Amino acid sequence: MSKISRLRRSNRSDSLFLVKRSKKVWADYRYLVEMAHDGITMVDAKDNLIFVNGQFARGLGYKVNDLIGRSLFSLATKESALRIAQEMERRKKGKKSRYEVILIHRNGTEKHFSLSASPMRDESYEFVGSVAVYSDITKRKALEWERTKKMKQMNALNKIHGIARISVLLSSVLNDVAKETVQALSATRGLQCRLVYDGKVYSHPRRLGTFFSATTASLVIDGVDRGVIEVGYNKQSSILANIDSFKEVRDFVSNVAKILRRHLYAREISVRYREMVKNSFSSIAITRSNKIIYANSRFYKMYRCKESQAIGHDIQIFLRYRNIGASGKTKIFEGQGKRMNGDVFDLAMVTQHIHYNGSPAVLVRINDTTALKKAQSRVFGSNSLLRKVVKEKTFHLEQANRRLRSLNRSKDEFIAITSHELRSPLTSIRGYLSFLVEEDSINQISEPYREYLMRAYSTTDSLNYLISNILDVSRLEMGRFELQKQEVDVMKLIRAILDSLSFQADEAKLQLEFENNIGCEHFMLEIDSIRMSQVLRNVLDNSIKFTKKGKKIKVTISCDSKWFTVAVSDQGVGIPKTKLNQVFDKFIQVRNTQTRYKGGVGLGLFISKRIVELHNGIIEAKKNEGGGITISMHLPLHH
Amino acid sequence: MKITKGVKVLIVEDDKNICEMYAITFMRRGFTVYTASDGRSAIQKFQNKKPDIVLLDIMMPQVDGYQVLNEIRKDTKFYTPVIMLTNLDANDFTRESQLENIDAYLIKSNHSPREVVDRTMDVLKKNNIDVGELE
Repeated sequence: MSKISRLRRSNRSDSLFLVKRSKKVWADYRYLVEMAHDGITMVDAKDNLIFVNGQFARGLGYKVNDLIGRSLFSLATKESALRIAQEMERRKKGKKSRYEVILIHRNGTEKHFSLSASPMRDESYEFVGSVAVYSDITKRKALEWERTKKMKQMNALNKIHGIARISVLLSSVLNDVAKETVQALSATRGLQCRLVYDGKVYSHPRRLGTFFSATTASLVIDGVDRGVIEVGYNKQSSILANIDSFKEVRDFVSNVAKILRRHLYAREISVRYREMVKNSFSSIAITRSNKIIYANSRFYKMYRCKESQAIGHDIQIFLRYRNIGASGKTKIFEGQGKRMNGDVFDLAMVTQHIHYNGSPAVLVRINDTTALKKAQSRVFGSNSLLRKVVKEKTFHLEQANRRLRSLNRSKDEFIAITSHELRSPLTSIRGYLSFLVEEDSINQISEPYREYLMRAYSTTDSLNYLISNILDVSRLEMGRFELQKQEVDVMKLIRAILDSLSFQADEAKLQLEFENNIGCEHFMLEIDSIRMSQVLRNVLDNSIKFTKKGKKIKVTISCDSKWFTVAVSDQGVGIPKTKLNQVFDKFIQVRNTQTRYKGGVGLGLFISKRIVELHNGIIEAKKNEGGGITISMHLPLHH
Repeated sequence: MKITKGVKVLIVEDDKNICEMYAITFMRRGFTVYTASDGRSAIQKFQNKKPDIVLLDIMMPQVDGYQVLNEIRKDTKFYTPVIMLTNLDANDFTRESQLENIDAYLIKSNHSPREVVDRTMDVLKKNNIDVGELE
């Protein structure tokens, strides 16, 4: 106002044109001031507003007239009012000032302004007030604040990253993370964080209240749910209505959880492998150009040395022989190791090429095999002893075997020759006796000599039969009993035998019955006819021997799809059931009160059984209902 | 029963008793009998007397029955039936001789002299050697 009056005063004597022109200039200025984007104010020396433009008034929600005459302090926040007063003092000294203030909008919100003010002076250079230009920087400020917040969080995350170091104790890491998380979000009061890991709780603050509006993120490490991170407020707060803030917390917690998960996973893996290596029963060392660059605790224990005695030293000093090769492949060898105290021990060593800290190295695994070696040598020792013993025994056995074989051969020959030698005189006796028992000569001999002669003749028969049996048995036992099989009519064979035995049966006053259940008169089988005749004769002889006068012996033949069967059933003295199977044993004659010694050795049935078996047949003895036994021979129809 | 034709039989047997026993029986039945008590004389007699049939023992000192048999079989023009007479069982001697080479095989102790002559007659018949009428 004073500026304009001064202008008017200086041009008082000018022409009307000039007056008009000055009015035009005035109008132009006024237009410029009104249309400016910035607020423009003029205050007096006491900071009362003497002029405001429309922009300034609108920016604070007032009309221009509402503000004229008002003190600038009444529009500012406490801190800004202080600043305004300070700045006016500077202007009084003639300095321009440029600063930021917070003014209060009519609706109570805070508005940030950046202002530059210049002092106004009258002709006497007296400070009369200031003119100031206000730029509204509220939006920028908000953005700036947002950015600062973000930066803070980023810093916090970064810090958490830094905290999460494997070298730091897990509990301090987790406590620090909880603390840092709360501090990063400190803009919102009453925040608390709880971390649960493997059942242990880490929190900030130490004492936790009830969680309201909690944000949680689970800590799943290597597929296993190990815990949870939880951030929330300790009381119900209106600030929670602020969705932005809630989102901010959530994002932040999820980021922290991400970092934590990564850290815990790395820690898990690291700990796992460290434990493995540390607790390994094998000594593990890593070498580069044969120099040890790492060794596990087992290595020090095995070699009774300190870390300083191993790291940086040649691994060869730990081996008795220089034998660590550097071939391209995995190498396994056994050798001997040398402990620091000079002791030597057996070891098995595996070397492999690996990468360690980015350059090639050799992984060496060493096992102490002293105990194993000892056990091995013990086993080997007892093994060789055993082998020696076995060799000796085998030698003895072989000798014994040879002796036995030769004895057997001698026995064989002995029996054959003896039989032959026995048979020669027997042949003579039998032959000459036969001359005497022939009809024309026997008639010339009177009783009882005739009877004696007959007995002598039949006894030579028995003797001959016995010799044949002994020969057969010896042959059977040596496996030198060969069958000569031919297609033979069995019916004819059986009849022939029965015919030849009829005399003997008559003499013993026995009935000999034949029953044919086959229904035809001929039956062809592939058998050794001489041997099968022998069998039948033996069986029948046996029956005749053990059956009393007047009793019956029945021969039955039958056949099914597989077997041809001859059954010889007698009414003899029979034998106890338990001894039935023994009738086919060598030299067995079952005795009981009713039997007398019947002569002959029990070879007949033994030979019979073996012959039937050589025919792939079966021979069996059964007790009859009415006394006596039945011996059945089954011969296979097909071979 | 006697045969009418003079059939010549050579009995090779080292046991004198047995040899005589067979000789008596064969002569009673009308045979012409030659005897030999060892292998060497058997071969001689076989070549000199040209018997119609030979009864041959196996176990003999020096030259045994197998060797005699081989000698007899060397004559490929004229086949002379041979009956092996032995006290060895078939199993013992088939190891060395083949049964096809001989016409019969008898265990002495199992057969009476009479049965031996009967078997000899069978063999002669089989070989179409005329024994003449039986009386």
